[in-house]
Amino acid sequence: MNLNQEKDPVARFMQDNRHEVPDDGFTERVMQQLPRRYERIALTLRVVGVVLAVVLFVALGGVEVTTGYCKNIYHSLLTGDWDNTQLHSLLFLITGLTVAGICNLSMQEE
Amino acid sequence: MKTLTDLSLIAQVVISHNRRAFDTLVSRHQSQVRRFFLHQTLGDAPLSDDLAQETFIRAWLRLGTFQGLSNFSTWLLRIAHNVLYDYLRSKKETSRLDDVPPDREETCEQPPVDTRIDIYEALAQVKREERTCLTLFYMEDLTIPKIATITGMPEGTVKSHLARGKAKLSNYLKQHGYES
Repeated sequence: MNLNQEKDPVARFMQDNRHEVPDDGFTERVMQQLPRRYERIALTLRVVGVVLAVVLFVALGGVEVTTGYCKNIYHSLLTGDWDNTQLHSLLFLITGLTVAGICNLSMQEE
Repeated sequence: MKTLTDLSLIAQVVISHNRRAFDTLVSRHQSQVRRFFLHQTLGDAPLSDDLAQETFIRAWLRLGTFQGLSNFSTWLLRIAHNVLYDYLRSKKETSRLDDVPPDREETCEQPPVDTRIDIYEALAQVKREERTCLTLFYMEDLTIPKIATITGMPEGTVKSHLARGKAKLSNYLKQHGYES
């Protein structure tokens, strides 16, 4: 406050009545409100994504292809007769599951 | 630990959605925002806290649009001002904030002399826009250009509101025996 303001009763009255507002849990209440909005959007996006993936998977014959591969891998396990395609499929499956697991863990930590 | 500037905290929120950084920002600025609403609502603490909470939620959602042209507190007060006016519009401007007639200070009767004048009673003597300008100028020590940015009013209008509000408040303080 400068000298002119010190002489000014309005300025002095306002400055005299200026006070800090104690937090009293306000910040915590705000922080609790923030994630809910984002979670709702994230949940909606996740549900839409999963539904879309399932529909496409079924519509494009994913069930038949996966069943076929699983049968082949099971057969190979029993006979010990592996080819490159089967090994690649198994590798893709393991990699995919690992990535999904890591993503899931990191989302839970957030 | 070194105190981080508002800008570095904002960067952390925008880039990595760091909630702890935003927590620090809220904690740092909550007093100013809540005080702003307390003055505009004439001391209605629950309403002030609701409006302040809405302000910080909007800030969180729009932090990516903060360009750093003004400082963070000015940007935050601009949001607070918009939140207040959205609230008033939703109440169709018939809320308790407007209960006091604007020309109340011109009354002829002499009230009892009291040096301990309630700030909210004093602020109730001026119009809403005048109250906003007065509190931002005297309580928050903001310049006229900054008040103009926050309120969206031209600088000339801010000056007029300040002059009119100050005259009314000065008269009220004199009537109530506030020592000058």
